[in-house]
Amino acid sequence: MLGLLILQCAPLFWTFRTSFRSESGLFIDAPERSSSLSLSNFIVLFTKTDYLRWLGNSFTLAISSALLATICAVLITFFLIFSQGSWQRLRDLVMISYLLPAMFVVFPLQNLLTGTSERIRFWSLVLVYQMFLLPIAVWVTAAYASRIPRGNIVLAQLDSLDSSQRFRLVYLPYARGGFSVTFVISFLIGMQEYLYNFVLTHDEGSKTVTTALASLQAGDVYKWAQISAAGSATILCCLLLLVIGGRAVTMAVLVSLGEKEWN
Amino acid sequence: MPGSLRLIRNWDALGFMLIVAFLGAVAVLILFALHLLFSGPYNKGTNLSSLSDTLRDTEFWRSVKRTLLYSLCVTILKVLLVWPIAAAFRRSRTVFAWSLLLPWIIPSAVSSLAWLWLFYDTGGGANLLVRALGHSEIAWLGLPGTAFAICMLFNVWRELPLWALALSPSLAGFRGSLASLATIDDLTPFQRFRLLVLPRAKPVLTVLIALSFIWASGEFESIWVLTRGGPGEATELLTVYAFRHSFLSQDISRGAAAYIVFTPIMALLLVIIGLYYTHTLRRALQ
Repeated sequence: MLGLLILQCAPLFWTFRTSFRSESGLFIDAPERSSSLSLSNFIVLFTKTDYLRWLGNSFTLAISSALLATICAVLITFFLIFSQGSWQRLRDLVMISYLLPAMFVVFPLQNLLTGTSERIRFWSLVLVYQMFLLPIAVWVTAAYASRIPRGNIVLAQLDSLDSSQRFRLVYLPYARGGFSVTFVISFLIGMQEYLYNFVLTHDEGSKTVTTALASLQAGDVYKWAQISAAGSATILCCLLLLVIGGRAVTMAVLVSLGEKEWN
Repeated sequence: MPGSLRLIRNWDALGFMLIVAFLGAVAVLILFALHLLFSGPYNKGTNLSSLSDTLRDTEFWRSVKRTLLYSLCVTILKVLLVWPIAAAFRRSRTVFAWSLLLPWIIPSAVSSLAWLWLFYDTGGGANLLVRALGHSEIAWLGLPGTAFAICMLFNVWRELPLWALALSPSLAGFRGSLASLATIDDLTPFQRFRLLVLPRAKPVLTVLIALSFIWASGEFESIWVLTRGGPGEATELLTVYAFRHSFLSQDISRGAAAYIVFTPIMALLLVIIGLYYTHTLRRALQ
């Protein structure tokens, strides 16, 4: 187990180690020893670059788009659970839309957003992210909602319960375990998005961490110490997110694949 | 009750409208992409010259071949290498185990930079190791073969934890008659794996294989960060080809054309995988 973890984390460890070294010390023949470690790269990162703004942008987009995806997925799944017959095909269509290549979708999006302000471009990403977040969110919430006993659904229809009663008395007790799981998995996937942000936003201030790190290079020269510091800070954030949301990720993957809850 | 309030209280209608809105938006984007295609190079005129140019472009077909090879290789590697990590997930259900998910949680662009630095010509960790072993530095990302291999390894490294997590329930202990049979029949570990684990894992494995093909064929950020499609065009997958033509050469119709041609190929592959999945499920139920 420890061996696997070391193997998986080796590339990340190299970045982490570099982030405490000076830029000049990276390329001399005899690498500096650990006594010359310093936090200067992190100080420059947080004071002289827009890293915190980029991180804020990543979180803002991820939280907003995950919230929207979760709410939409809950309502969509609620509709599908109580609909019959060919309406179920709509869920398949939503899932199939996930197969649409992102690169194919980005062309028309870029055309549509030409001439709009940077602010509009940035906030439009919340809607754009639904292209890949909504199918995943529907998949996860549907997996939880599929646990509702068929008898409960039939009884609810026979008793002529209105939609809010059905939601509260039939849907919520079984499906609510999936709400937080859906939100967390959507948030984590939203944090990772690169292509749409790369193509659709231009201003440095609108960039997310994923797209902005490359801007730390100067021409053909990579400032590896600084890039490593930014990478390490992001990795630590992700580690924290994993500690908080690791169980949700596990649930999302296992439950949506039809496995029983991992306890 | 006012109409708008009635609508809000009718949550079925809201759910239905959201589906229609989403599918409508997707349809509009597809139609717009087709419009860009038929508007020809540099959006002048209405013709199919972009489509015919793409079909005649040998570089395009090389990128298709490369994309299919890349998708196939990374999928095979994942199928072969996933089992030890899946076993680790099965044995330990702690934060420590969840740490194995870290490569998947970290944004691909960030971890690609980590790999780029690891394999950088001067100062990179891989070349420091090579020099420590007494050899001269290798231009890992400057040679076509090694660059392509590193791109594949990155994809495998990143997605293996997710595969392992999904397949870990298949490694659950067998109880009752199956466990007894395995002991009585003196099955070797490989036989146990082939006869007991693999049949149970097949449905999930098939889904993962399909997802691997979809994700690998759409891989952009790791390739762009690591190699920009180079050296030469050694790692230029379809995504990079389309990006280069659409946004660097400002010929969006060529980028759209590339995907119009590639989509049926991908769809055929997924249909084959889907048929196999249905066949596997049917056999499992029998």
